[in-house]
Amino acid sequence: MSDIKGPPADMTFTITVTRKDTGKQETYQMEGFLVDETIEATIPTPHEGESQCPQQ
Amino acid sequence: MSATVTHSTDARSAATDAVLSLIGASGKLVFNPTGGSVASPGTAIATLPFSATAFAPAANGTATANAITSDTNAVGGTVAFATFQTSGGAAKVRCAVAASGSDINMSNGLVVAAGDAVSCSALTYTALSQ
Repeated sequence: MSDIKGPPADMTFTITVTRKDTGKQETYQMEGFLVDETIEATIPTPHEGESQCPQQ
Repeated sequence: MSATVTHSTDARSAATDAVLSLIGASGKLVFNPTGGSVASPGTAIATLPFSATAFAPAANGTATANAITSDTNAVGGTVAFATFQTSGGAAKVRCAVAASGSDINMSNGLVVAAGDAVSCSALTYTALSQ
């Protein structure tokens, strides 16, 4: 079973940087991709004699 | 098992508009360095205010930004991410960005020096591609 990925998303834009020191303009065509971010969770450590398994 | 979900055109437009509505009035486009997260996007390399209404309504799932004000005095850094933020600085969309049609070598990322002016045009956003 493979991972089920979320729907892709996209952004495009043109960015122009005008250099302060030279006055030169640089223009770039850019793309953006939404970022997958892992949600971290902490599982508490069981106390002695306790179990993380569900009780039957 | 893989899953394929396809949305109608009006559903894709609705999704895009719904996301962008979260920006609210007077939001901003912020370029950030590597690291960070949508909850904490990190240092602003350049901050470009959106128009009061950031985007026109989506068509065919894609919305185009209204005029964006330039940052005429950037903080500077190496651009790795772009975020759409509310006027209060809460990021609602975060994208990793890279050059697409440029023939200039950007293997080291787009470096913006302190004091450079940064402008952005033709910004489009698509929440769902299919």
